[in-house]
Amino acid sequence: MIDRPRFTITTAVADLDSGRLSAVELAATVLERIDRLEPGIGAFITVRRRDAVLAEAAASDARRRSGTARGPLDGIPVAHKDNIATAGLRTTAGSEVLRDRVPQEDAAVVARLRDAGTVLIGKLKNYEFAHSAIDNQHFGRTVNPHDQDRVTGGSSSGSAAALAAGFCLGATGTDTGGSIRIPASFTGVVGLKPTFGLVSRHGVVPTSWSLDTVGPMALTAPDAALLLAAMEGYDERDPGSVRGARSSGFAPRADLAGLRVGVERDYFGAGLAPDVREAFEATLAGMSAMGAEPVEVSIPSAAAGIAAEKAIVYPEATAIHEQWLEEHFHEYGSRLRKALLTGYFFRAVDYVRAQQVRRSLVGEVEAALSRVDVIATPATPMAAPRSCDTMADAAGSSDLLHEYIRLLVLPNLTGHPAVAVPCGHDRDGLPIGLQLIGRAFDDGNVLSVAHAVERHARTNSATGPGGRTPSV
Amino acid sequence: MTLPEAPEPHPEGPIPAPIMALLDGTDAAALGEIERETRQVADRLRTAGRRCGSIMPVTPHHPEQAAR
Repeated sequence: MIDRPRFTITTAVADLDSGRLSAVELAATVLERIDRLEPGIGAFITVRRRDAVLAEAAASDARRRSGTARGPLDGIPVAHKDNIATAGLRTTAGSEVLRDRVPQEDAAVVARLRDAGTVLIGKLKNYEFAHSAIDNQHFGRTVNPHDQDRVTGGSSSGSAAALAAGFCLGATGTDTGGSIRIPASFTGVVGLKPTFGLVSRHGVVPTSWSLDTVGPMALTAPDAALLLAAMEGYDERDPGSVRGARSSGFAPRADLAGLRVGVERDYFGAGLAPDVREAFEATLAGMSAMGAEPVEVSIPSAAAGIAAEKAIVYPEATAIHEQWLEEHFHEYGSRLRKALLTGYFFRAVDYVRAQQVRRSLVGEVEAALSRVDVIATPATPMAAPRSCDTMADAAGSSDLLHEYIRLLVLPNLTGHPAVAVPCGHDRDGLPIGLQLIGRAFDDGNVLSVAHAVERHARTNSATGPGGRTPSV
Repeated sequence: MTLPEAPEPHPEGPIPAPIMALLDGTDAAALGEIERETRQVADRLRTAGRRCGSIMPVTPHHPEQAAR
């Protein structure tokens, strides 16, 4: 059994501001947990040297003492997904192809979080090149801190596991078809796929140019909001970046009075595990008790979303990787090789039809969001599956991987912000996640509602948000 | 006047020859399954696409972004 993470960003900031805690003590706390627990979890590809981490923390303490702290994140330990470039620090994207790559320049989000005073702990494991798969064939499995027999989900597997295990207080992830929200849901942390164009992707190894997003992951919604505030903003180096982009602000809500919550049951209510269905309905009831008004909404093309996602992601990924495939074919894991070969089998007309479906979905979601403030769905139809079941899936005997992403691809296709937030537990004590989809650039409000949900879950749970005590 | 002969059918499948040459037995064995799966997705899109209109005029994919 391991102890629960001692700090969130919000509690650490309060302790840092009051002088009860120094950044060096905070960094030492997470490094001690990494020394003790990381061998059993496998969240990192690279952990920075202890002296480098503590030197950064000491610099933060000096700024705080001299009144030149860079903001609330100054001194907060963070870690980045390993497909996000860090100057001078190996960035592999989880692949043998880039095993020894050391970037010269920070990715935009790394630079922004560094400028905010965060202390970089290391680089977090992801599925190879951030493609949906089952763990990492090159760097090994990431264990779910809640149950060592369960998958963490991905592709931002290390980011979620590191947060749940207390190895960092904030993390970055990337989300092309659920890669932030799947592991967030499976490990009981908060993960935001921001509005497309809000957070720069400069310096991130692409998965799919038209679907990729970079977002914050944290233990709580207010923590994610603090990270997002530092990460967001226009960047001319990312062609998808939106000039002048800012999200709505995060504001804790005492209740949800006046909030209209959209619920679509034809697609998002079908095929749910009984415990997920129960937790979802209990969460809706809790939101109603806080003053929210549930409103039935319709998204008629939702079921076609996953086909559209596949017909866009695979060809774009194959185009991205084609030259590397020619040069490094056998350095790719066999599962990713298969995925990249798939891109060649989609025809141009399939890609165009996927774009037709995508545009229809944008219209349908916009229509729904003209009537409601957020749309609520379960994040995943099940809690974290057993690792052995996902291996059976890799052999083609089930559709489990399809199920992982089924409820999550819609906001990737439409560009809307979507958060996964813990809302309950299944009968085995594993976390269950809720997805909240909001209007474009209303990310702060989405996180505000998510905060109300996590408060409700905390009130109604013996162990609080994040599920039962991680137990590896 | 003699009409030119019809060209031979293109011998390659969708995978470029330089990459086709790199496939091992496992990769090659997966191609049939990949083809079946992509056809299933394509069939789904063919049906769904009939109900849809045009694609985005430009890359942005939500109205707020397109308006900026």
